[in-house]
Amino acid sequence: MFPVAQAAAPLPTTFWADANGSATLWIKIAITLALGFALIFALLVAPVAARRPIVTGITFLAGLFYVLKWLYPEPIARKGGDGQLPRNAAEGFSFWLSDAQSVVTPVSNVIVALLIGLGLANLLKIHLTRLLKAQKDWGYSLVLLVCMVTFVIFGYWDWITRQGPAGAAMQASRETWGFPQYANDLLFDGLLQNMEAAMFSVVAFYILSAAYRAFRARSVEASILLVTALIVMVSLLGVVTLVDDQTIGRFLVLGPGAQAIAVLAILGMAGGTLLFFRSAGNRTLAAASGVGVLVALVAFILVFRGVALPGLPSDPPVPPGSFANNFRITEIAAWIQKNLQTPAIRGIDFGVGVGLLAMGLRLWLSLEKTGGNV
Amino acid sequence: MAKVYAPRRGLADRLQSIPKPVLYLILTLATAIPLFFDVPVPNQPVQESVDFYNNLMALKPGDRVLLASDWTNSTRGESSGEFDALVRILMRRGIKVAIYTTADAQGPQVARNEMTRMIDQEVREGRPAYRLFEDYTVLGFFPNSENTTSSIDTDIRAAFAGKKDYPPGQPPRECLQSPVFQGVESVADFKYLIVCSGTKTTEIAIERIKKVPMMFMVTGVMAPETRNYYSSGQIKGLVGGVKGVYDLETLMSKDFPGMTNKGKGSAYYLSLHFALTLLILVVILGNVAMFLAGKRTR
Amino acid sequence: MGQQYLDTGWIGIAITLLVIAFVLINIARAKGGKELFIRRIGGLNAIDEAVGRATELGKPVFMVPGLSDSINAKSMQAINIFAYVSRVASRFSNPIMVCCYNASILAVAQEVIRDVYQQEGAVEKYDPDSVRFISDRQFAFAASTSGLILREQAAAVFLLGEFYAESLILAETANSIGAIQVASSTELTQTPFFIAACDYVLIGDEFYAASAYLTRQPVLVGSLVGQDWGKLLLMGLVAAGILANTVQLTPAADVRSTYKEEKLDEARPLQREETAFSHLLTPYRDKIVEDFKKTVIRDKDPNAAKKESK
Repeated sequence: MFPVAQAAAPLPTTFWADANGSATLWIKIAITLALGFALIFALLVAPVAARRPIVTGITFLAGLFYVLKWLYPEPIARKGGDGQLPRNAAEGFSFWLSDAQSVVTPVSNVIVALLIGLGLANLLKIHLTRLLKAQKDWGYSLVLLVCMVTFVIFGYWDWITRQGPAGAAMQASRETWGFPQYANDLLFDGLLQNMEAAMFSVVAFYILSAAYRAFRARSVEASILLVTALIVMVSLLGVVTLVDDQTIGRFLVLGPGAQAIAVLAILGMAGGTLLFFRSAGNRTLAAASGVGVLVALVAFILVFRGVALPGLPSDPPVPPGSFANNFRITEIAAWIQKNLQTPAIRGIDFGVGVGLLAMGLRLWLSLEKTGGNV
Repeated sequence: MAKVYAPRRGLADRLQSIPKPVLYLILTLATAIPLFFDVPVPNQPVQESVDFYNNLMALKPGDRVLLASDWTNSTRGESSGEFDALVRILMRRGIKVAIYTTADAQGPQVARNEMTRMIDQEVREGRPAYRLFEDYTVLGFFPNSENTTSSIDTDIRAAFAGKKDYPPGQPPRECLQSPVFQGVESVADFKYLIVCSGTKTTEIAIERIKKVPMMFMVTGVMAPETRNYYSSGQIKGLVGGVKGVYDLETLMSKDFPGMTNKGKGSAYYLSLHFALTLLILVVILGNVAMFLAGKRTR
Repeated sequence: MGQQYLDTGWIGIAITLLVIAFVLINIARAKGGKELFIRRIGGLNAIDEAVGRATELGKPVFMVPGLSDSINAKSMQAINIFAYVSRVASRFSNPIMVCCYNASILAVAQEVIRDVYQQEGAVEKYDPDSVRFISDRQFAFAASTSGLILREQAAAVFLLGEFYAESLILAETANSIGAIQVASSTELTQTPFFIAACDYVLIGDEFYAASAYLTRQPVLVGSLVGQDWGKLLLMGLVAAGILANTVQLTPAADVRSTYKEEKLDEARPLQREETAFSHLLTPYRDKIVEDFKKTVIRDKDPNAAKKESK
């Protein structure tokens, strides 16, 4: 079963690597089929007390393959189909595992495909019952069943007509299409795909209503969340980041006096806004702070925009090595993403990974008692 | 009968309870109207998009990449633009590509349709057509993404064995006989594995593919999580969402002058601007309203 | 083979085996009767409250175990939590509905929930159609489940498992009818959407802690403590890595050779990928394959291996 170095002609294969259509492959398929049915029968007649150990054993063996595949060193220098031979039994086992992958994968694919039938059966049972007994919402069940049957019929009709030489021509051009192709195209590409895209688009509306409802600065943490989210969102607006870069660039080329006015204007706007929100019903204070903000804003605009100062370039860039780059919105947003967001996600990912590992281990070793037993 | 007087709703209450239909209508207009205007928006590509682009441009004609096209029309707003930009670059650089899907059975057909559309566009501009089977091949759909991806890393020829493609004018042929797979014994013989995905297949690729460098193209909402893998060096480039597509198109406009470089990134970026602006305004409005309401009750 | 194994990612396997050992050790400790502490998790405390509210309103409890493509650890964990929810609901004779994305999850969920009703002696209250397959198309599933939540006017909605773009659709739909929601997505990108729309959210591995928290089974609690030891190990590695890289990447620490044993013409600072930790965590795969090829002659001659074995 574990081949060691052998004579090369004909090239030996592992247990899994029989040639397609060979007699040994058919024999193995027949034996496996018989064993499978025998196992099902044995499970059915087995006493109830024996079922748990059997299921535990099968679970363990099934998981053991993947654990070994992960743990056991792989034949890294092996080229597929090249006839290279393992040097010893240990390496032979790695060849065996490697070859087994191409058999085990389709097995699990087949099981997944069979389960589609189970889902269909469940759908039909529920909706046919509702329809035939005219229960609540039977209209929706009727729509579902009609759609299901229609899609199945036209899907298969299209597939069947594409088999054979005509299929390649249909694939290349629509000129050879017939009614089933057009119908299938209308149903799948015209209806289903667009409905899915529409449902995904609905998320945009829900994001807006959720943000409007939930993004409130109710606490310090919420305020921090709000400010960082706004910075990241603003950094995606190319127009705003361009204006921001130009503003910083201009600030750097202004004279000291103009720079002082600009800084005071920014501080004035921030302070005035804060004062406005904390005026607590004092109308005089609220009015004064509002006027102050406006004055600061006008000063800011006059200093930076719209006033052509002699000799001042219109859109001076921010020099690449300048400290002022740290005040660009794009840089701040990149810093937030790189130094706050990424480590936080990474930390949560570590925890989730460890949790998943433990959960998988419990399932593999059947330590998990399902059913929420207390 | 006594009248019930409803308390007058102040500005704060009205601002905090804007009807959802009004918000949705404004969003619809804000995102739909810009689609009719072709306005170039200033853009600074992010480093991850620049790395993605530079890695592709460093490839030589005749090199090959493996492309996992794990998206369908539900995420076409972003993924379609990413796929188009990628395929444009590959075709113009003469890079062969093998396309497979593990996420959705519709994936291969969606990929074929997009390839056909992009090839037609290149042909209209006088460049040679990319030939199915010779320059690119579509391997089809593989259910059970985990096992398939493990198989690809272990033995790519076994993983793709039996899959057929439909070269025009010929009967269906095994994809492994395609020139795209000539000399390919392992996934390491591809220069890159590029995953264009709107699903978790990116994580599955990270977990199971060890032998070939990877680059990802993901939707905007997946970008923050995927950025982890970029910053740790596990992937060599990342394109995230409409912004990422626009970054690629911006970079392409410098290296491919006189060719069509604008695609869905350019078409949607202005809408993204307006949508984000609306979102920011609505958030600020909600907070101002909350503040005013709180002030009133004090 | 030993050298190859040591050089091709032994550290990852070693850490994994250590974490497994921590889990198994703590399971043994818990089974031995040791009391192990778990901190309070708000979302899980709210389960009883949510089901109670649904009972008062006479409305069903909705459960969605995520959109896993097949039965896996995430969907199993969701089903385990739903088993607890169903147990509480069965005691109050509250109707439930479990919407499954995949037929394998359907099969397991049906068995588990029927068992729960049997254990509670309420088999006659169990409606087999309450655990149903909806669709394996993401947005068809979202549309159908949203419709069900709206038509049935669910009072409590539990969204636990793998959720993607449809997470906000489901959460906002439930929010619009005032349902109390407990949610968790194993996809971190969807967690912010749940936080914006749901009442209680389990973040990250609080989801995996849920079954231990609810049932207090020794195996599960021990496993949870083992996970925490594993996280401490990872934190220690991160701290060690920070220190080591800080020292090695200091501009003043010029080197004349790297871990790839290249001799440099002139001293220069180490690159990030040349530090000790980078070498530990990122094996030089190309070098290993080249060394392997040099030490073992593998040409096209099929008799080469036979000659070599002699």
